Amino acid sequence: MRILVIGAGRTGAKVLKQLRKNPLIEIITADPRQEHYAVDEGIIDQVDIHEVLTPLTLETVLEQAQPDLVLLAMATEDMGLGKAPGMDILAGALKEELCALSKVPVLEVARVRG
Amino acid sequence: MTQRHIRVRDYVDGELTGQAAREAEVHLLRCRRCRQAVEALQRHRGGSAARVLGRFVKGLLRGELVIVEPLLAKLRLSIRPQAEESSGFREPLRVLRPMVLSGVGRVWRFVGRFGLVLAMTGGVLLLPLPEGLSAAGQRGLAAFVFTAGVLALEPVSLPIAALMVPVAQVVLGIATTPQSFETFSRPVVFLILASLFLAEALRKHGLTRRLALATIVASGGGTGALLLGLMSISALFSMWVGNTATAAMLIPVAMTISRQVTHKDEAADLLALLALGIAYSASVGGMVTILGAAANAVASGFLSQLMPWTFLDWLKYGLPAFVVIFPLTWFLLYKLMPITVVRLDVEPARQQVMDMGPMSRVEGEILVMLLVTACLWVGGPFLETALGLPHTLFSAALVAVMAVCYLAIREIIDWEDLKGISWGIFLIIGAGLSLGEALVRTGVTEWFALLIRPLVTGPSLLITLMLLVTISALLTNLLNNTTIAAVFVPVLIALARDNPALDPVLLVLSVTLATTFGYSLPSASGRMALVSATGIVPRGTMLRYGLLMTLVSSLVLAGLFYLFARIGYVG
Repeated sequence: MRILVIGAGRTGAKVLKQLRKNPLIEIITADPRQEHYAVDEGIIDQVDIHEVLTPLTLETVLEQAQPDLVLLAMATEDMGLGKAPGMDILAGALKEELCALSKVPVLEVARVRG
Repeated sequence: MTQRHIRVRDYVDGELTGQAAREAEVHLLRCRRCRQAVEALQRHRGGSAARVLGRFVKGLLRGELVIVEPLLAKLRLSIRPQAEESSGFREPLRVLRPMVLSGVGRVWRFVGRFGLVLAMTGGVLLLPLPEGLSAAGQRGLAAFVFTAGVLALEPVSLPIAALMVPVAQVVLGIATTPQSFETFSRPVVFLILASLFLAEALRKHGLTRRLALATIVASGGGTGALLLGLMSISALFSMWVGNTATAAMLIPVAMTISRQVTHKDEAADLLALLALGIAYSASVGGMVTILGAAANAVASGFLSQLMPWTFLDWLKYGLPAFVVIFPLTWFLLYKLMPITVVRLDVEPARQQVMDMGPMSRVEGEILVMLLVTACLWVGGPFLETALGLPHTLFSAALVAVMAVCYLAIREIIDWEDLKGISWGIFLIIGAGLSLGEALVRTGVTEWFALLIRPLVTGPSLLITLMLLVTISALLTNLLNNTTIAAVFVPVLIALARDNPALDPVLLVLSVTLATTFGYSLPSASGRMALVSATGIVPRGTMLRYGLLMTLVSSLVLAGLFYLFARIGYVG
């Protein structure tokens, strides 16, 4: 099974740690940022796809990754959308849009605070 | 992955020199753990004034290395060898700044933006007493400078800056603590807060998305009709619920539409057009009601002190202004912004609507509840009188709060949902009103009114309105709308009181509605900040079209209110 994990921050790192318990799961990671917590922590060597995930880029990312399942594991501030009032709402709406548009199942992983 | 971490204490204490210091800085760029440790230790050390001063003086005595790589990475024109590009991490570029410049930089960081606000405030207090202003008035003027400073420069986040306003008033001796906080509990504050709760219900249950997609399908796919449809939904919701929240919910829908365009640049142009349309119309929609914008709430707060002022009174002027400005905004935007896409296939949107299934019971209930609430906002006062109900039972704020209670009782929203809304607006409106009250109390508004009287009473009414409206619309790109309303509205009321030819409603409404036209800079409004931060609309594009839209809309609005005055619709 191929799983695309969107986000290599703290939340992504937790998800990746759990997924690695099953060696049969093939993991692909995507994160638009330059620095990745999961890489710093040594959980993964590198991020496979450097791209901000929006409805405009969804198709390309899915073509690249060919996943069976997508896990959205990014906090709003890690999504590469910048900072502005209302960005939380925009990020939430964006995630819903991605869930609706994707042809493979997309699940959102709850944010880890702190 | 293994790394050799830096000696955090040595780094923070400045014990590392030469190559060791440079290596530590390179490592800090890579290693989040060390950065956090350095920040934690610096925060811990920050408590001691002697240490802060020590570091400051030490900084003045040595040059400073500046790492500019993160900035270079963002510059499109920066040329990097291919091999370096693919190697992942790049050595930061370093610049040795002259010692004096480094020191100046440190002075600026040490003093900070808050220091600048304090200096400006102190400067006003030290000035000779302006003619016509009392000593209390001078302190009121200082409070105004402080408030404008903290809200414009934002040395801390805006809601915290708003909390500083009552503190400053009490410190300056122009208000007691109860006086400075009284405005935070005005009904209009709760009206705005409740509108944010209602927006949360819409967001949570996806009603905005459903209606947006249905509008896209109904548009038939022509880009002009599609833009008009999205702008209409954005404006319609912004009249009743938070306009930045509305724009934030609709921008992803615009992204979905734009993905149909295969050519990258054409898709980007279409997205920019739709996003700007959503942002502009969210602002224009906010003109219609008291709860459409915080500035409206502040202006209504002052007008209600002057005369009986209801939801319907605002609607009487806000709605005609919207009816004129909204189509103009759509027309100008569509004609001015070049896009090559003429028609889009609406089938994917239709498919999305079908995938969503029929409207759920909850969505229907929210829609009905919003309609009932809107009816009560408009006709509530008549119902009170006709049915002999308790006075103000159907006041706008109470109706909004009752709607929120209903949604909670029906378990459509709960407290957890409401935790994420922008509670800061509560403080910003309260602070705006508090400042306005203080300016009135200390006589500053009268003094301001005297200063600008020649501007208002000299030229014809049309020129006066054009000047006031355009100044307000341009200022709103730089200053918070609420601050503009808080400062201008009491002054305009004072002006109108002294001049029987002027009507306070005419001046207050035209100037307040003009704060809607902040289209040119990200700082103008939450909507513009959103489209800028996401990178959908480049700054240059925003400025170019924004300025033009601002000027045209301002002149039309001034003309409309002039017409209102001529036909006796105002007053």
